[in-house]
Amino acid sequence: MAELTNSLREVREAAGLTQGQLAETIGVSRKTINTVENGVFIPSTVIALKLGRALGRPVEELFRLDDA
Amino acid sequence: MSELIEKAERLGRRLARLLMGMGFALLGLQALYVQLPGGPSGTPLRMADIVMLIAWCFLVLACLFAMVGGGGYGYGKQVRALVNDETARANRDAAIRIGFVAAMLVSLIMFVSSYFAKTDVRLTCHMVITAGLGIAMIRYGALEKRDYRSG
Repeated sequence: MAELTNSLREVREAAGLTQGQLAETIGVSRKTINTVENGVFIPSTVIALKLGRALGRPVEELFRLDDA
Repeated sequence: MSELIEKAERLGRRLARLLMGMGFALLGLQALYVQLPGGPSGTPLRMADIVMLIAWCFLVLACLFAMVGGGGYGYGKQVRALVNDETARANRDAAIRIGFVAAMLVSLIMFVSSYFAKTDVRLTCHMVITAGLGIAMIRYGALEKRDYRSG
């Protein structure tokens, strides 16, 4: 089964943003950013699109399916 | 981190602890209820028992309201929205699902046991509420605490 992985932490850090700053930009709690980065929580399409917009990257660059 | 995000984080952590504590309190009160004279046994209630029953009903309603509504009332619309964002809603859904299973299992046990022993309706309702709500709240608190901790 394909597994969802993400490079949110790397992209966020490259953009010089803290979890709190990114959370504030897209209007979610810091916990949401934290759990997405750790792969604990899979965000909705809306949050994924907001993350892509806030970081100036396409969603496919932030999230990808790794075939097991 | 902005003041709003910090405020939401503090409130979220507090709510997780509070709901978990209230869940354990509900389970603890179950043991106390069994010992009430007017509880399962049906003997007349004393004033103290009536006060305790009313307090328990208020506790159950408050817990139910907090579990379904998410809590955080009085902190403003923005903070409430942050506290009840996607992860909190997902955790709440998962917790309510577990609570539902617990309530169904307790109901099933009480139903089957009623064929073999005299079963008190009040005690059964009390147990179903305690299991359903108490376990859901403990699960929600545990999930939220895990999410705040990781990272």
